[in-house]
Amino acid sequence: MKHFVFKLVLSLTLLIVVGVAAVPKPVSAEEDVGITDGPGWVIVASNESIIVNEREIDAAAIYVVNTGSNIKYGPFLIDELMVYDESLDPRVPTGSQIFDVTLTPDGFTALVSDFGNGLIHFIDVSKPIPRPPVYLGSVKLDMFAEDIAISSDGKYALISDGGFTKYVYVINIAQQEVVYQMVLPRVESSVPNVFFDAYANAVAVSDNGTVIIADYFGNAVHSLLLDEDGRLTYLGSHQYYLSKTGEVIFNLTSDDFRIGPVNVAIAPDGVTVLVSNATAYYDDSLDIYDHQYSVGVYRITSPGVIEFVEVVNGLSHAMQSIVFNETGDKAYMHGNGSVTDCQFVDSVFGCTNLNDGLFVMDILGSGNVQFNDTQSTELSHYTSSQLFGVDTIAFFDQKAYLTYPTISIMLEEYPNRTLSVVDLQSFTLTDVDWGLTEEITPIGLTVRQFIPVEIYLPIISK
Amino acid sequence: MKPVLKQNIMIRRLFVILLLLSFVLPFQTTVVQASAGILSGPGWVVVASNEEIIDPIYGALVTPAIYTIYSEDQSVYGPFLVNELRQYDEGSGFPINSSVFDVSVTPDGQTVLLVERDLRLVHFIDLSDPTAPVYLDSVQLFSSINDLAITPDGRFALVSAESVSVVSIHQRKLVYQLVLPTFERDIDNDPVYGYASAIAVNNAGTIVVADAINHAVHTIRLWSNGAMTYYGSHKYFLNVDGDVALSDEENYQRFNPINVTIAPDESTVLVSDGLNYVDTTQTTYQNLYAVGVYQITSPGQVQFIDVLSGLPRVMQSFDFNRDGSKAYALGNNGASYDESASPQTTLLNDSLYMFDMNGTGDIVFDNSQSVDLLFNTTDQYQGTDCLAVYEGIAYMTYANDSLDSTSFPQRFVSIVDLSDLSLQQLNWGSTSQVTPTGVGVRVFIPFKTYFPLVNK
Repeated sequence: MKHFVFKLVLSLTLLIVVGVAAVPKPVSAEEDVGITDGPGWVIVASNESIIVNEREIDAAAIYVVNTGSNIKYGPFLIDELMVYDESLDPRVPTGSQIFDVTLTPDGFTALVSDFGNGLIHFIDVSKPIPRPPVYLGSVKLDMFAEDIAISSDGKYALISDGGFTKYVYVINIAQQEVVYQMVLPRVESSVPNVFFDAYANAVAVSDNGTVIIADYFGNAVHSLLLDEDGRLTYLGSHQYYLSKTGEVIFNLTSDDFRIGPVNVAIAPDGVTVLVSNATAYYDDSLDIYDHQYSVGVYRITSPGVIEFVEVVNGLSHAMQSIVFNETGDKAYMHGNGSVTDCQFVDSVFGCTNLNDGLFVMDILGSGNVQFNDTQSTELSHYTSSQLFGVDTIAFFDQKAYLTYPTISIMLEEYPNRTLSVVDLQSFTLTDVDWGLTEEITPIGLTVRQFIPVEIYLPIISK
Repeated sequence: MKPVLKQNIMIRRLFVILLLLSFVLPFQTTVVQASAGILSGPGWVVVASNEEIIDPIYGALVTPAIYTIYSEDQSVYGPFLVNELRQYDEGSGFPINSSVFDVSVTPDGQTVLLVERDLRLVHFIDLSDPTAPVYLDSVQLFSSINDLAITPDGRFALVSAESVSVVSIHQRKLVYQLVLPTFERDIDNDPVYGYASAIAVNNAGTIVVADAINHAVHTIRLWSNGAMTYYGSHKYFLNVDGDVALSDEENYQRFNPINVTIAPDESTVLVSDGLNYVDTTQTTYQNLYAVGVYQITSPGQVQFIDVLSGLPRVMQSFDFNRDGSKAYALGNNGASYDESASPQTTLLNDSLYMFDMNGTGDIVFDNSQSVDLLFNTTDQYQGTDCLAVYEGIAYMTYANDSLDSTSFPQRFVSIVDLSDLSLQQLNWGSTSQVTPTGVGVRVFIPFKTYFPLVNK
């Protein structure tokens, strides 16, 4: 027996050695064989103004940023992401505007939403550099495509709209085709027998198939269940309101504020759900007041079912995007729209705007979150409105990467765009230059983790 | 031991007394109560009817009513609930025209659900005493209602309209709505959304929806909590020879599903097809219709089996005998055409037809027998069930309200004894004034005796 084990170990060792030697040489990656840790790649959806046939066209491009060096590569795929309209002048592109970027769990494929053209682009990012991203194809949807969430098994992408449509699409990623369309119903509001039209403005999906929808127009959160064949079942809706002082109210009165869910994130525990509310509440009976924002906290109690836990209120910024660290004990939030010191001065009403920032929420347990008011980073700009569902913050290796939570920005104050990189240990900010504000707008981003080079050994039967 | 034995004897005596009482007490109740110990017997047919009444202030109005027919002697009771079912304009307070169509009875026989189509109402009526129905309540939905089906467990009513709604029968409340998604694209590549013309549900939660607007059948899964999931859509096409294609091909026409029924085997699905596929370029022909046959393969899923083509009428409504070996259909829109005759088109009378159910998905049209109903109609209601079979008798109203009042001045409820196919016509009133529409059956309900629970 010992002899056999020795022979087996020897054989396997030889095989590994031979296998390592025989592995097809990856493009400039042979030096990475055996390395299991390294820099990731930030993949950024960027919109640029270009000139085609003497006409200014809105073009879309992909950039990648090495997390080790913060070096930016790109633009990539400008031609491939361009859209033409046969019914107009087929030689002149109609313009593109890409928003959200989401990666498949294997890190090989990025899905990018083209809002105006209703497209989901598929891009191979298996080797971001030196081989640039490769365009794979697209799927056309009957709506403005904005937010993308990918199921943890990598089979399905769920897409929500940024406008007034009621659809959630399910795309089979391997087949690059739509396999299901959920039309959200009219649902009963928190006031019995009063119904409202449900909309899907942002989407997230948990490991157990629970799909959470943020509904800005319906002031609600909806939950669905994704089954293994890609079908969706609507399972419920939740609504609450906030008083002038941020108390949660379930029966709306004229003094209360409706919530405006613009984004949703599910923590790594697979249970805690954080919903970004972009609608401010404030007490305008005071002489001086601030706009305050909140994050709704829910728990996934069973597949497709959530319960309301609480509201984290008193936030200075609208937390447009939320991302988590690997262990799931920290949520990092991209906040904007901060308005403070609203008051009349010499009979003129005015407020002070504060710069956008990175903020931190401590995740103490499932559904148990606490705003960390000791850690934050002020960014170099101020923006106000929020994109629906587009993730504009990404986390990798104790750093956060932030673009802009909206396409609107004051040109004169901020003539240059940057990619904000925040060191999450020191909370110091590094701005990576992105170009002129009037020419280029980085929006959605995600991080492709470091992927060790894989070696495939032949299977040998005795 | 002795005290225990004595107690048992006392309990037994009490039991016997209660049992004897149970035989005596029923006779003190109304005629609708069945006798204790008897497990089968006469039922009640519930008929939805729309009547023109003359209001002394507001003039002529169409107002709904329900009637009940005692199956033992075919005696008619009603009209009931004329005042309760009348609808009023909320702004002016004036009464308005209102019409009821489909009727469904809960499995316990205690409650009737009645569809008011255009005002989007589902009425709830207590039928525990069929000679004195009591109005309970209504639920309003979001769009015009075509059909209603009750789950075999009696918990939910499924309502077909622009969307499919689930109404909790216990709560009398809308609890779920499923909007049918895009299932195909039209010739302009625009999305086509499903529509629910008619609906049926089996005991495993498979919902089948006939979509007459978009020429499709949709399947949905109903979950135990009333939630629904859309599963898929199916279509077929027919050429003038009655040949079937499952995709759109040249010289094939889209089918026109106007009603759907699930057989007692809980698996066979019959889809009433209103398409007249006959070659109308011929000099002589008779209208030809079909019935689509599907089989439920797993909850929410159906597969296409067959098309029964060559049928002489549109089989607008189906019902079955108790063991599911026979299907009966109310057929209409029959016509023959002869280019050399005058008039060239002759309308053929509506009739009752029969089908042999030989096995799951295996159905054969019995062209050897039918019953002429002595009137003819042309168009079809979508989803409204106008035929009910109970204890060997078929009860029929009209497959549509398109009855020519000159040729047929009187309305009837047609009653066919299925053992000898004899026809009895229950006079229902003037064609211009009264229109019986949906029918449903309240089956015989054995008298229930409740004994006290006794602990040892």
